Amino acid sequence: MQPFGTIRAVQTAGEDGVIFYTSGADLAAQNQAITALHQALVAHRPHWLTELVPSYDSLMVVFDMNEVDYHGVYQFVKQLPISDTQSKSASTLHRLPVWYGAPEANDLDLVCDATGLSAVQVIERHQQSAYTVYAVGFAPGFAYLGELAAELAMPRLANPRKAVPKGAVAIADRQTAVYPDVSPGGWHLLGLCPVNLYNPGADKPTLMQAGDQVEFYAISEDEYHAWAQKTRESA
Amino acid sequence: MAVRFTRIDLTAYPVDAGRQGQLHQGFCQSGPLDSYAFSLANLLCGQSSAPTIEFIGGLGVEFTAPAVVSITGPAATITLDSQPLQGWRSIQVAAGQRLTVEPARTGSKHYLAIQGGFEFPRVVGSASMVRREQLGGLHNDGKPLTVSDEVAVASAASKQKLPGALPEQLIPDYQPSVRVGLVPGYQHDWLTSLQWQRLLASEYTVTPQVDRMGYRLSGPAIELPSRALYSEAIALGAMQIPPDGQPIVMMADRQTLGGYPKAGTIARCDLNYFAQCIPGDKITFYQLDANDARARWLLKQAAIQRWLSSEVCGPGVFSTRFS
Repeated sequence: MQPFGTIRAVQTAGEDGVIFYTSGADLAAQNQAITALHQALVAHRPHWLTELVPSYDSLMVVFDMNEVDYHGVYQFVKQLPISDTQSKSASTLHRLPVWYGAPEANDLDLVCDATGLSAVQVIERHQQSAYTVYAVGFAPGFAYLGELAAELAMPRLANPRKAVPKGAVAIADRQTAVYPDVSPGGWHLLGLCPVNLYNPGADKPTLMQAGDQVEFYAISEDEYHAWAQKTRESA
Repeated sequence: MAVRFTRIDLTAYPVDAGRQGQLHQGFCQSGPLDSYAFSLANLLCGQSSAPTIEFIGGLGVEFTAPAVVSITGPAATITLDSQPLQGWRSIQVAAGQRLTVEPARTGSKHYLAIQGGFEFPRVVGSASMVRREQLGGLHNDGKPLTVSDEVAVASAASKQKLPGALPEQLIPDYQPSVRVGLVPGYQHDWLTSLQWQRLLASEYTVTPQVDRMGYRLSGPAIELPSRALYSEAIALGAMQIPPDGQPIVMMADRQTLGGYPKAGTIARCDLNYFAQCIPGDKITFYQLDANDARARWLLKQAAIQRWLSSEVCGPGVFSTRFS
């Protein structure tokens, strides 16, 4: 399967899957091309489509083997009209409040030591960018957000936590994320977000989807508790 | 109508066809490890993919009302009260009867299906239990069944004529030494042709590190160049090659994304044989291209469909789709 357009490579992913990889000047451009391809497939939703799994620079298309083979999938995607401009404007923006430095989720000292920044600077830098959801995975509703300012890039913890609290706002390399639920984790924590990102019983169980935009803003401890209370009551 | 679990030697939990269309939200696919045995267990009860019990180790159950059940999987000793029975067929049970299953090999996966299907909470469209996500199961907490649990059974849609025993050729011949098709894909071109030949010529052993997420193998290491790779979607049966070069085959409860290179995927037509392997079993691979793998899978489905059409109620009643 030959490359075409923004697609730099195509491979089979099992006999019922094809994975498309995009090209671009940087990861942001590659991911934008994935979002465009993803949206085009969602819009045209062929009858044989069973799963679409976007990630940083790839999109896996899974199909019903009774209905089509991988050649058919490849030809369908190749002739698909893909609009490169619709993706950003069509994406949802989530503005997420954060109680930075919440004691249950506070590695600010470690981050300051490693980056040479003050806690105030770390918190400011984290709020400065609008992030793109590059992928949702690892756990239900866990959104990988990029790209984090280079000066905040942190390695993983030497000893991962057994239980990161629900709502913990975390950073690793040039990524940031909010833990949708209690889970093990090796990222450095900056604070807590009171918004419920994950509700397995709901029609739409996860808040963030690949291609969405995310911004963070600081709230106080009191605002956090009030919000968290509201979230618990509505759950 | 309910089923009481009187004996669970190792583990027992619900599976159905798994979650459909949820991978992009980070929910794993889940579903049965041996989807062939799962599908046939249901078909023998006159339905296509109702919630079924997947269990490892001995199992004992008691019925509060008459029922139709089936047991599928590798060799096992099955008794109803004290009467010996065969697997891979429909079994009529009366109220108060006790069914026990003792697998010949510890670690193989068996399926108990019942007409109407077991009633379990459904989460994101599926009754499959996922321990890692703490979802599904009797109390929707991702925990398997425990002795003395009682599980309700849904009433069957209608009085259906049940199929008889499967023809011999539709019962899998599970062996402790398995040759499985490997469909090249993903980063297969990171392997040199010498490495491919070596992978296909070598024998790998199933290690004790096997669970519903993946089976770790040991054998000649496949040393790949260390190149940057962003996390990407992991297909069912994908063969990951971590830095130590020992393959991990990704199974039903695999995480949706991962950053290890993958040499290809186990062909779906052979995946149930692979899934039934236990630590110490031997695996060899043969190369199969995606077209051939699909063709073999379709032939298998067609054989099941022919049996159903000839045995039961004519074509069109059952879906031809199995996962």
